[in-house]
Amino acid sequence: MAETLLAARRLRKAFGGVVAVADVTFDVRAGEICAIIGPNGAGKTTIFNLITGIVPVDAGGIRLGVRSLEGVPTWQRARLGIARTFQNLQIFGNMTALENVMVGRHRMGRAGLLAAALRAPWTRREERRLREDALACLELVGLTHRRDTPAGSMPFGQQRLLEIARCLATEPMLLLLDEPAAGLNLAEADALGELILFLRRRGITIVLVEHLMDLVMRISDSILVLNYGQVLAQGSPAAVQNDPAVVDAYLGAEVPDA
Amino acid sequence: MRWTWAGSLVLLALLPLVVRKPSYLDVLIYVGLYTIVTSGLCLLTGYAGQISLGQAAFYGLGAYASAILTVGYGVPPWGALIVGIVLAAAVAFVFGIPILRLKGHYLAMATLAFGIVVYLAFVEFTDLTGGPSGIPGVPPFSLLGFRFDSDVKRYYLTTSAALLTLFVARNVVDSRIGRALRAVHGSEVAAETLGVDTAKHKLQIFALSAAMASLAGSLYAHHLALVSPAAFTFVASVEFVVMAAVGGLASVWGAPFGAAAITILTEAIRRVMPRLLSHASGEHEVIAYGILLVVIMIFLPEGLVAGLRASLGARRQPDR
Repeated sequence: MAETLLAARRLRKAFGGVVAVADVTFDVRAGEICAIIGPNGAGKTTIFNLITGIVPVDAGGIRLGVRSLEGVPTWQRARLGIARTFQNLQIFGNMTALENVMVGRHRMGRAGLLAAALRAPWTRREERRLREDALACLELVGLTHRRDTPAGSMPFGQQRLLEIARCLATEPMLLLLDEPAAGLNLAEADALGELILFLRRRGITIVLVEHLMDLVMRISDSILVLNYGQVLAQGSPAAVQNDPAVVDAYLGAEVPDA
Repeated sequence: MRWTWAGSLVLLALLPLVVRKPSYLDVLIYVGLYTIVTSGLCLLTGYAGQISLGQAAFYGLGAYASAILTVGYGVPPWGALIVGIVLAAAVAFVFGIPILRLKGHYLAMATLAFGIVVYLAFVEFTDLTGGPSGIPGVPPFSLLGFRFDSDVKRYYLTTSAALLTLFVARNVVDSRIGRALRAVHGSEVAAETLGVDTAKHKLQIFALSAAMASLAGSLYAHHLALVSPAAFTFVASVEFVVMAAVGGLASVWGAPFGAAAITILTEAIRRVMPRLLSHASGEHEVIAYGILLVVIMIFLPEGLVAGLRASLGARRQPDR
C-alpha cells in the first residue's frame, strides 16, 4: 500500500454556533484519487479551506507527508505542493488566460520589487521562461488557443479548466478540486474525468469534492462520505455504495410497506 | 511605443521654450510633482487594488524631511531627499502591517485616519515643524554643485523625476511582481493558494507608493521654498485619488494625464471664473470643479487614457 500523503486528524471547525466540521479524520494515499461526497452543508468545502489554511482549524491537525501544517500560512502550503480550485471560481478576471497561469508560476521566479523596478536583464529571461512553462500548462488542459483572451470573458467550462491549469503551474503534489464538474455539460464532464485520470498518471494525488456521482464512481480510488461534519463512511466506491449508513443518509431510511 | 516615448521626450524638453509665462511654468512643475504621487497611487490602487486616502501624509513627510534637514541641519538636498524617501517607505511599511489586513472601506478609513494624524503632527510638533506657519527659507534643490534656482531648471528637474517614476512604475507593472499585484486585486485568496505572499506584496507596493509621494514632497519643498501643513490635509489626499481616477487606474499612463488634467483644470477655473462672475469666490470654483469632474467621470468612467485609446482606436478602424 502506498504511503500516506495527507493525514487529517480529528479536524474541527465551527463558525459561530454552526459546526461545519465536527470531527473528521481521514488519510489520502500518495497517487490516489480520493473523492469527498456528502449533502450540501456537510463540510466538504470547509475541509478544503482547512487543508489550504484559508481558515484556521479549531482543533485537530493536518500533516502533508511527515510535515505538520500547523501555523503554516496558505501561500507557504502552496509552495509545499498543495493546490486547489474553487467551487465559485476565483479566476483573475482582469488578466489574460496565460497571465492567470503565470501567477501559478510565481514561486518559480525570483524577480523581486527592486529587480523588477530596474528591469534587470535576467528578469526578462526569467519572464520568458515562466511564460513558456505557463503555456505548457495551458496546453495540458487544451486552452492554448485562449492564451490572450481576458479570463473574465471566457466561457464557464473553460474557466474551470483554467483554474486547473493555474494549479498545475505550481507543480502540486496534492491537487484539491472543489466541484470541478459543476456547470459542465456531459461531454465536458467526461473530458474532465479523463484529464483528472491523466493528472493522476503524472503522479499528482487528487482530492475531489463532487456531486456528479457517475464521475466520482468512475474515477475514484477511495471515497469519504461526510454528513453534518462527521465521517459517515470511507472506502472503495463499491464498499461505500453498499454501506447502509450512506444509503440511509442519501436516500432516506426504507419505510416498511404499510 | 518607442516613437511615442521619443516624441513625448522631445515635446517635454521643448515645452519651456513655448511656455514662457512664469505662472504657466509653475503649473507644469506641479503637474510633474503630482504625476509622481499619482503613479504610486496607480500601482497601489489600480494594480494591487488597495485604496489609500492618506498619500498626502507621505508627500508631507518628504517635504518636511527635506525642509527640516536642509534648513535646520545643513544636510545637502539630495541627502535629505533620500532620508525622506527611506523614512516614508519605512513608516508605510510599519503602519501597513496592521492596516493592510483591512479591505475596502475599512482600509480607506484607516489610511484616512493615518493622514489626519500625520497632518496634526505637522501642526502640533511646533519645535520640529514650525507649527501652522511651517518652515520658510528652504533652499533650492542642488545636485553636484548645480542649483535648480529657476522655474525652468525646476521644470526639467521635476519632469525628469516624473519620467523616472513612470519608468519604474511601468517596469513594476510589466513584471512578475506586477502580475502578483493584479492577482491580489483579482482574488486575494486565489493568489495565496497559488503561492503568492499577498501580505508581503501589499506592504512592498504601499511602501513604494509612499516613497514616490515622498520624492514629490521633497521636490515640492525645494520648489516652493516653504513647507506648511496646509498642503498636506485630507483634501490633498483626496485630490491625488481624483487625479488617479480621472487619468485612469488601469494604466500607469493615467497618472500624467490625470495629474495634468486636474492641475490645469483647477488653474483654469481659478482664472476664468472671476471673469464670468464678477463676485466669484472660492466656493464657486469648487462647484465648477465638481461639475466638470462629474462630467468627466460620466463620459470617461475608465479615465482619460482609456477614453483616448477608445476614440483613437475607433478612428483608426471606422468599420468596426
